[in-house]
Amino acid sequence: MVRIENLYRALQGHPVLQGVSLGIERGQVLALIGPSGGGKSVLLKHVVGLMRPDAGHVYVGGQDVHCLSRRKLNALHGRFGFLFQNGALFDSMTVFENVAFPLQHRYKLADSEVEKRVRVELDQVGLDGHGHKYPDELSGGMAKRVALARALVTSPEVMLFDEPTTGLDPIIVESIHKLIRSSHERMRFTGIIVTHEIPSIFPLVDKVAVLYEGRIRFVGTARETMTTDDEVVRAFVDSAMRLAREGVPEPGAATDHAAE
Amino acid sequence: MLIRSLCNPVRALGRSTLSVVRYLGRLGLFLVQTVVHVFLPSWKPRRLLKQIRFIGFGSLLVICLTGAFTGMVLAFQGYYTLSRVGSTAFLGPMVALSLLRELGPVITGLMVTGRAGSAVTAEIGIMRIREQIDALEVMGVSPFSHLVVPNFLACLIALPLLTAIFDVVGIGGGHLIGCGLLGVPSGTYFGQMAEYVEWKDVISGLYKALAFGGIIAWICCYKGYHARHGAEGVSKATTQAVVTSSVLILGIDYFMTSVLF
Repeated sequence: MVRIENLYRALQGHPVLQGVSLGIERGQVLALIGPSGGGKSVLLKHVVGLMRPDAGHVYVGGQDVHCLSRRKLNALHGRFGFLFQNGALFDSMTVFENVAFPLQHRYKLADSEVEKRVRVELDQVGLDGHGHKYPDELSGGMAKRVALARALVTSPEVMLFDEPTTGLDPIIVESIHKLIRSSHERMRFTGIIVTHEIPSIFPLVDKVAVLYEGRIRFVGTARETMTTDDEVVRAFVDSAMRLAREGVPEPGAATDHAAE
Repeated sequence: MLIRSLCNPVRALGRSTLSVVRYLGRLGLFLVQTVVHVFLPSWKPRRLLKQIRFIGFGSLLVICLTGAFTGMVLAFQGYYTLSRVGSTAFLGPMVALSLLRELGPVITGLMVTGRAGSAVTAEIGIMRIREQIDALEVMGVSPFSHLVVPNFLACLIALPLLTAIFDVVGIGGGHLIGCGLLGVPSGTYFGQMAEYVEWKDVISGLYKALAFGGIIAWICCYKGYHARHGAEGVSKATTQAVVTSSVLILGIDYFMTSVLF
């Protein structure tokens, strides 16, 4: 469904993607992990056509995203849902208007149909009754859930999640993960989740890819990721697991480890 | 070493020339895209009405105030100058022609730039840095149709109307001072005005207003659309939008005056 071939991209002279190749089958969900600043969000924006590569191709449903005309790319965008890192909710609109926006502007549905679908979607994310609120009246977790409802309201074929749980407490993280899982069970979308939530993301995904130094270093199942011999992946997964288990280390702990 | 140091200023000049050409190219393409999207059916009339309300109706008070004071000052200064040559009867045409041909469209343009243009840049800039414009694109909604076209058309519609209001209020302000305070007969004030002011003066002023409306929307939307680097970037974009629009209004005013009159 999504195929990335030999993608290169430099930002301000600094190479970010250096030959990324990756494939995701229809209905599969892939977790994209890797160090911060490694180009995961940049890769996601290339998949959806928000950024153009210096070289390489991205195919979605057989169509080369970066060779499409503006009209065809617009049509392709109708098949995407994108959950932005900060939600990207329209702050001059209420929660209801935000979720209704893609239905009204893209599909030109009747008001009653829009209202029905928005209510269903807000109910799914547990925000029924909050439709009148503005984004600045919501907590971080609620804003993420509204953004998720807005991304899912059009029943997309391809769903991209850019760090859907960053900055949220563990209970909210768990609830967002449950929402992603339930929405995938309902819609069977093809998904890419950029995340640092290791290992809690693993039960949700079919495959895990590690982006390291501008290339895909490793692709495998969650189990394979946990047991791989690749030392870079091992070190990354181990430190993420340790962090999840023990929390943020005390000041000086890092030097203690180094001393050991 | 010597050749290299001699080449450095040339290189710098080349670099800055290329960057200016690139900037002008982007600015031109932005205008072309905006005009193309005007003729596409994807923009919403409801958003256009909202922007007309914000840019036009929202600027009424400030336009009436500046129009009244401009007309009053013109009457004072004009009366003083004309009385030195014994021609105070021409106060009406002097006030009217100054307002209709120059001050009406220019001051209206500058006021709308400061009040509404800056707000448009800030709004679009904030949407850009918070990825809301990216969100529009991913939903398959063109940011041009949704954000730029309504502002562009609203400025084109609102500016001539606001200029006409500015002119009328300014002439009224001039009448208040010229006739009420300085003793010019009301009949002379309006009689001479009818004698010397032609439709061409009125229409050419409105042409200018139309051009200034386009400039304000073009520059302010462009600056917001390409805002980067957080709150500081948006504030810089807003300042640049106001300064560039104001300078362009004054520059284009000169060229239009030399062509139209």
